[in-house]
Amino acid sequence: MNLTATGTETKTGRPDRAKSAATFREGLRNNYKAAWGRAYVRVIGVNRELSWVLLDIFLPLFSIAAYVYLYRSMGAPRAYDGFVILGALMTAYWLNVLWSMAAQFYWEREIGHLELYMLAPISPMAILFGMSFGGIFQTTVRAAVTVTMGSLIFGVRFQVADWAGVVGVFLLTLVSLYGLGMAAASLYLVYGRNAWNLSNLFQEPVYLLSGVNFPVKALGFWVAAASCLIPLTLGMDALRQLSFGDPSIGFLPVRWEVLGLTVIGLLTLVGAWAALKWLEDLAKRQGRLTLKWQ
Amino acid sequence: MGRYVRSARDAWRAFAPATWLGWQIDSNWTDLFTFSIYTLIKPMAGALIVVVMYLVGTRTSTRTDFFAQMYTGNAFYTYLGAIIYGMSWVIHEDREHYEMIKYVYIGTVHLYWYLLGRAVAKFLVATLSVVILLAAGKLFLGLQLTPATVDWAYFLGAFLLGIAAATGLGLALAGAMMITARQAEMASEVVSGAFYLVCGFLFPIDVLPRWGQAIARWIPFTYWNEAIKRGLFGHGSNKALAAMSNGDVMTWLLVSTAVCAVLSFLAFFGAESLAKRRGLLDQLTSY
Repeated sequence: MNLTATGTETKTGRPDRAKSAATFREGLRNNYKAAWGRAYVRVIGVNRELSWVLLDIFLPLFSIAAYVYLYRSMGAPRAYDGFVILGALMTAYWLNVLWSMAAQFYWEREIGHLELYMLAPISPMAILFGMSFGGIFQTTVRAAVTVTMGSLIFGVRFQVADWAGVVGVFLLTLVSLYGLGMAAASLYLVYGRNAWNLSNLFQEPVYLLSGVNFPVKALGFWVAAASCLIPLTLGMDALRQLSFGDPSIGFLPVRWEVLGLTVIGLLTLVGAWAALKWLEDLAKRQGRLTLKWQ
Repeated sequence: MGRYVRSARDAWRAFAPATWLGWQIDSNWTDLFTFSIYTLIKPMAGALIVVVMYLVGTRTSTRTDFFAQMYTGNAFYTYLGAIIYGMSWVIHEDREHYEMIKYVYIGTVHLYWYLLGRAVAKFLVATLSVVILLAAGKLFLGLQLTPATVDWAYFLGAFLLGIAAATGLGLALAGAMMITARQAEMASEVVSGAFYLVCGFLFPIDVLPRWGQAIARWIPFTYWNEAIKRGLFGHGSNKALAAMSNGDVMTWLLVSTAVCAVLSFLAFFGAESLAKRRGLLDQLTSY
């Protein structure tokens, strides 16, 4: 008597392929449902929680206005207003990656969801994909409103010659950013309150190194080169060049930045999968998966 | 008389441990070295963003009065973010994360003293950041600030009034947090973000539209920012307030702080009373 992986007895003694295929299909379906279920909360949440909507739209407007007025008080060229607007757009995604991707498993553990994810017949990667999709949707809706309002208020004009290039670079940047967020989410599994502090720490320093409000080449060659390890830097620099039709403000040619974003995107996605497996196991062995209030 | 002494002693018994607890919570997640780096990097990066923006936008050196005003304004704004946001977050953290706000509340001393103690811890961490920022500015960025020429009495008087106003506002937002799930956190961020924009910390309020300047004149932190700069540099940064003497600025700061404090206390005690009536003091919203 032989048993398949699912415990089914077979007459031939060989694995029951039909059964395996059905199990595989069921696994896919479960993971798809889990991903969509996790994304759904964020998609539907776009118009459900007014306070979050107001915060996400109006709070960035304050910092946009503050930095625009700062440039104006210095007598800087008006094009710099646009840098600030573009920076606010990408900052929204970075914040979403930090707080709603990387630190999310920490919150999920605090409120008891994490153990349910681990018990369910799904891969935690499905949850991460769902979080990413939902996060991108949610952030896009709100950031679009912020950027539109900011552009109208401050009269910013973008000079886009290649819309396909802008959209392509933008999507590639999102893949890299959210890949990084998925990898970081796994790391945060083993942290307690440090997750909070880490996310806090990765705000201003990353804004600085990525040149969110100014051309990154202003940081000097070596610092700017090192900053290219952060996908936000490459994405911002490429988008700035494409949106204002001025390659002279860029640190690297756009095609190099596209290549860099592609490599980082692939590495972070594979890294997320590997890190999740390793750190999930570590967290289980150390008994941290359900550990609260640390 | 004995009653007042006993009340003061009770208040101290809540205030001092709350300060210690706040410091522990804010700092004990890591070792001292990492904590120092963390405390240094975050505000320093925030300051360097405006420094680079200044260099890119003006293409001049940092040895200018504009830079000094911008840099110090940005540094002192750290207090507002830390105290206003930090105090309201204490309610959420103690209620939902540590689930111990009810034990503080049923103690012999009013929650108010506990929150003030926690604010002191936020103040200490912010002070560490501001001192580091000013020292780094002086040492590495050519910040035109000379301790010998600072009007220390004026500066300290203004500084303390501004901290009092920030604490009052933090208390009001802590009250709002008691009757909401987490929305007051957003209110704290919006309020402190609005102050960053309209009170002239980064740039003179003169560049704001007229209605923005009008709003700025009603906020104590506009006068706080102006008075601090007058104390440090001998003059302020806003042409719109140039006609006011140092005494006028201090008077406006004092009056607006007093109004802010009274309104904040009313808001806090009103919210606390509402939270108790509705049974929200120990609510868990998981939000």
